Amino acid sequence: MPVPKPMERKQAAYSNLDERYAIQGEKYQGQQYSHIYFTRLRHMRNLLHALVPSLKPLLPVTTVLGLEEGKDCILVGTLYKHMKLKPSILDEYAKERSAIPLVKPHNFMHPDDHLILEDESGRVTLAGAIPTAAFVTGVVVALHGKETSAGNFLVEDVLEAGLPPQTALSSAAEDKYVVFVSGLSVGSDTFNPLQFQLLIDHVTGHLGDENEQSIASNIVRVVVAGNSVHISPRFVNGQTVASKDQSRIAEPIKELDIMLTQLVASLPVDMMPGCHDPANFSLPQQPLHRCLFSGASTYNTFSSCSNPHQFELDSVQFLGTSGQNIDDLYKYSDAKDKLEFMERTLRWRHLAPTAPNSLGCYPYTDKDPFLVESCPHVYFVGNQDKYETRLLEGPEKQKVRLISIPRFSESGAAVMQWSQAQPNLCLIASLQPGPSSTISNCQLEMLFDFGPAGHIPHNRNGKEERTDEIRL
Amino acid sequence: MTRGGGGDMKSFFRQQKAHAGAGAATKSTGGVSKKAAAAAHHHQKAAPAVHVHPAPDHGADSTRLQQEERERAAREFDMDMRYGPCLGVTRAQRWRRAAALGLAPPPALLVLCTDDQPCLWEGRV
Repeated sequence: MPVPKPMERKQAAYSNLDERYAIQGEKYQGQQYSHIYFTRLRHMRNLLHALVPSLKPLLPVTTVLGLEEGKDCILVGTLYKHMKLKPSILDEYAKERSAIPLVKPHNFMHPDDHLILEDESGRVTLAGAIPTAAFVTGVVVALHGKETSAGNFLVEDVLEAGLPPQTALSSAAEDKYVVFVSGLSVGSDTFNPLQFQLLIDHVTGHLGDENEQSIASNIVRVVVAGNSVHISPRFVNGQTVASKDQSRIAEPIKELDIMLTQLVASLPVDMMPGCHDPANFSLPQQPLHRCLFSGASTYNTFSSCSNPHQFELDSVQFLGTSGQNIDDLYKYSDAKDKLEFMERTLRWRHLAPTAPNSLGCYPYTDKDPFLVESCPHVYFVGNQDKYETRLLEGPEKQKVRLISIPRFSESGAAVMQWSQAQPNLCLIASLQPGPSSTISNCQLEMLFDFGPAGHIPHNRNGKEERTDEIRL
Repeated sequence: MTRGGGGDMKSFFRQQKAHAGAGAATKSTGGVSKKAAAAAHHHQKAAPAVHVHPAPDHGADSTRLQQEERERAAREFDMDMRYGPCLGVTRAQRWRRAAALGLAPPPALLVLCTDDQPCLWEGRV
């Protein structure tokens, strides 16, 4: 019997770009959110002023106060969307109880919503060719139109900043994979330890024959995009916890730590906090503390990262969040799928435009860290309902792979991104236990997505996938 | 400058009693009348307190005038819309932020902004 050749895991040059999301150096002086809006408007206005002459030459750019009736001009400002159904703290004090529905709708849109443009000098209501359903409060745009006699601004055209410039990719010699997983929810009812163990075994190379092991040896990093633990709500609802229950609060984290240690012993892992994790509520969420992961943090391959998370692997730029920004967009605007929300955030050059309006955010005084200055090559969002991916192309040859990562506890799926010169290929590994739930019956299904059109040939046991058609 | 507690008007408007004619009554302390004189000068009120002058002290006058000028310039910097909101940040921070955003605030103002000096409305709004 031939001695199996030992396989070595590939390495990739990693650099963490999360310094802009660190709150450690900030000092809270009692400031409010006006400063973050001011810096956002200032920054975006500089960008838009540079872009406007090439798109709409000859039109004057004015402020809201300088509007003249009937005169065609360009306005740059922050949008505010007035929404009837938006939950307000004052609803509790409303006299007529019947006006507020008891069941909160998941999406707060209403046909009567209207947009208002605001800059330092004033506000003006918008009308005309601006799709109210597509925009949210906090987006900075340039509008071409004129003021009407009614005092509104009739919009003819909307100019967004568009995709930011992207650094060129160097062509890579060999394929390397990055695995994204989110929504592990260790400690919840939907968590199946067998599924997670299967994922770990597959990624660390303990599963499968030589073929699968060689695929696993190409994995250079695992990114856990939020919601890794689920602490039972009865422990955190403000009531005192009985002493016998106190040790049980941390059980999910300990369980996660044990399983993470296996993963971390084998390859680098980035751990991002999510909305259910023991991290701060407002964005940017700070990295989870090392003391929570007493086992895993002893390895230097474990890195606790902030949410949003930005990093670079072999000159490929990655940017992503644990889902709060896209979920908030989903509540306040409409799009055909989550990827369209992601595309919009890139076109608006802002990761979370609804912060601080409806999304918790730190009140920065001198910067807005969610502004996207350079276009990532891979943009991922965790804790979504299903797996979706698309390749977004920009006017200046930018190419972004948008990935929506499903919740692992519900779908049992993690996403493998082929980090290479042309990141237009995504593999998704779905680990489902077989009907009798023993390891021998588990099937490893691999689906292949051939780019934006998304024709998915289903392929069992990973036997025939190594054809040249994949290497596009 | 003075940082009065919330709603303290005496630092910039000193009300006068009805029998203000008698000079002796209004000549309470040199400090108070100086402040009132400075504030009156700034707000252009024909306040009765102006009648009272401390003993002719031209050196103190010129420094007082300089201080008023500086304070007025600092308040105008606070109120200037171009540099953004003034509440919640110190003047020096606001100046630095304006410089970082490319707004080119006049460097002379940076001299005025002593460290940790908040804006005019701090604590009053």
